[in-house]
Amino acid sequence: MMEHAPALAIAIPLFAAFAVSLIGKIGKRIRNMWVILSLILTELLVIYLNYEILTNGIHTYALGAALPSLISPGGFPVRIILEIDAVNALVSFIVISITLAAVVYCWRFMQAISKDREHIDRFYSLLLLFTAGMIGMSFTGDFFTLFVFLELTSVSSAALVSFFRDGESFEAAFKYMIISAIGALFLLLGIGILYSQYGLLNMAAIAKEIMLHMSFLDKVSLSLIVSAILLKIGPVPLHMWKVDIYQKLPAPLVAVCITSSLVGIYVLSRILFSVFFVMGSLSGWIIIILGVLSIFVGVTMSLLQKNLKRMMAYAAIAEIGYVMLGIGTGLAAASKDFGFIALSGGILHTLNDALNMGLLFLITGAIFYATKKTDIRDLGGLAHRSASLSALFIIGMLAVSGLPPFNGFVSKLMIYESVFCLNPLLAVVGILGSILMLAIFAKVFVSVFLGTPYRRKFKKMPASMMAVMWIIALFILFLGMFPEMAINNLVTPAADALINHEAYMGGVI
Amino acid sequence: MIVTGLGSWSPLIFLLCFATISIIVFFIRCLGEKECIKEKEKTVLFFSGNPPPIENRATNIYWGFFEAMGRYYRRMKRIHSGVVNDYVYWFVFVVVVIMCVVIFL
Repeated sequence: MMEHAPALAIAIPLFAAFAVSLIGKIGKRIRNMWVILSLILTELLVIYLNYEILTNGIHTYALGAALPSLISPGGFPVRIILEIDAVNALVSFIVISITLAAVVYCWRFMQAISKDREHIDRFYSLLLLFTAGMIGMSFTGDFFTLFVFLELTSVSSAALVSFFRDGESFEAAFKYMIISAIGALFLLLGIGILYSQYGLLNMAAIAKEIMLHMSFLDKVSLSLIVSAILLKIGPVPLHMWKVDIYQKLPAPLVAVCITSSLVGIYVLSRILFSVFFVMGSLSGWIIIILGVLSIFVGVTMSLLQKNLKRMMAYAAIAEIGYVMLGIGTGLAAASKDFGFIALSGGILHTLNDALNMGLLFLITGAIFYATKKTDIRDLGGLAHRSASLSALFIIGMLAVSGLPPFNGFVSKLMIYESVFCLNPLLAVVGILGSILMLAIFAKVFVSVFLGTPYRRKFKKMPASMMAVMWIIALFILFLGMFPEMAINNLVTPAADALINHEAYMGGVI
Repeated sequence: MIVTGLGSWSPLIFLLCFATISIIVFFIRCLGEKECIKEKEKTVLFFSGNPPPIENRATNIYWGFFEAMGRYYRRMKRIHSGVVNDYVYWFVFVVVVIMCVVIFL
């Protein structure tokens, strides 16, 4: 049974998504339990896969084969092949953990923002589809399935963006649909070029062909695929759609959307490290430049915003920039020690970003739940009404700004020091970004939490929402105090798996 | 202890140093002025001894930074038009740049 864990980790949320509307007819409590149960099952499968991979190495699974291990009959990979190693196992663990936390948070949050039961049924259905798409994108070992799962995430998230059913939500959803469709077309074109040359869709098999000879068409295909994936990740200057949709999505869902960008970063890393590794140095510099741009533009634009969600959205773009800076340096200097540390820092920052930005968006959601406001000019003195929320915000603020001894500091330190070896100017921009990040959240803290007590209507926050935020905050503190546990057991094996492209090819060929 | 490239990092050593410095700071603070500043004086803006040019609120604490970066922000606001055509334009621009870099370099 457990040999089918990779397929089940995708199938369970997919099945649960279609069943939600039916189960929702019985009652909202049973529907909520169903959603949470399906995510807990998926989480257990992903934890099992992480354990198995760290113990036994890469896990491959052929969908539709008589035996799941029948990957390449006659030395030629056929069928849909899922290939799971330490990187995508870690990414899927982050995705499912944050989604589970967001769903528990949503239990009471969604009741407060919509009374329409069927509307919430659809919300959960789309959220589960979105989760299945993200896990599928992480696990897949072939390009066409990647395209299918990318489309699944795009369509479900576009529908989720229009959740509030007002003019701005529909506009944001429409923009996102156009952007996703164009990105998907470019991706499909790139995949088509590869298929026309090699008659293959499997990533490992294509990597083997490219290793022998990189043609002009391969370069065209690389450009198209990388651009399409970058559009999904949303670094500057491809970030503008992100701010629109983050503003219109319910706050807990933004926390899930952040993990979707991280899945995009994983896919980009997989393609550049494992398939087009011949172009490593050049593509590394492209990623570095986009990362640095994202850091600078993200923090400076965030400083300007008055709406909490838009402010956080720009901060999230800057955080993605740090991950890209680390991974880009890992690519550009793959053969050097500092390249490996930069890559490890980038991977660790993936985990930290999901936790820190996830917590801050959940706090934004809690502020909205309590006050029905997201404009910082309408808020102030909330610390007098909820000391616990203020404490959570301080933890999130210090962690995302990379201050010691919080988790963000460790990953950023690893990135700065290794990037410094590549080019000191990059480290300067990174540190400047961190300082501005602190300035952004200091402004939010002063405007929203300090000052005279908030006198308007303030709804008490339910225990489930507070519990989720405190659990994430405790993880942040734990990772800050004991970073070596995450680095030794999760990050280093993941960085090893990315660097070692021959092992990835060997899993299939 | 984690190796971070050029150095290393231990959160426990940091916390130990932080606690020691905090105790010293607290000791110095205890030596300071005992009388508190009047409430009204606490909220008066200090602008190098001159009267402040604007009425400043907490949401506008980086007014000076925005003034100094005025040109950059005007340009950025123009780029962030919110029009989907512009989003597509930037995507096409990135595709062209990446393609040129990958093919010709």
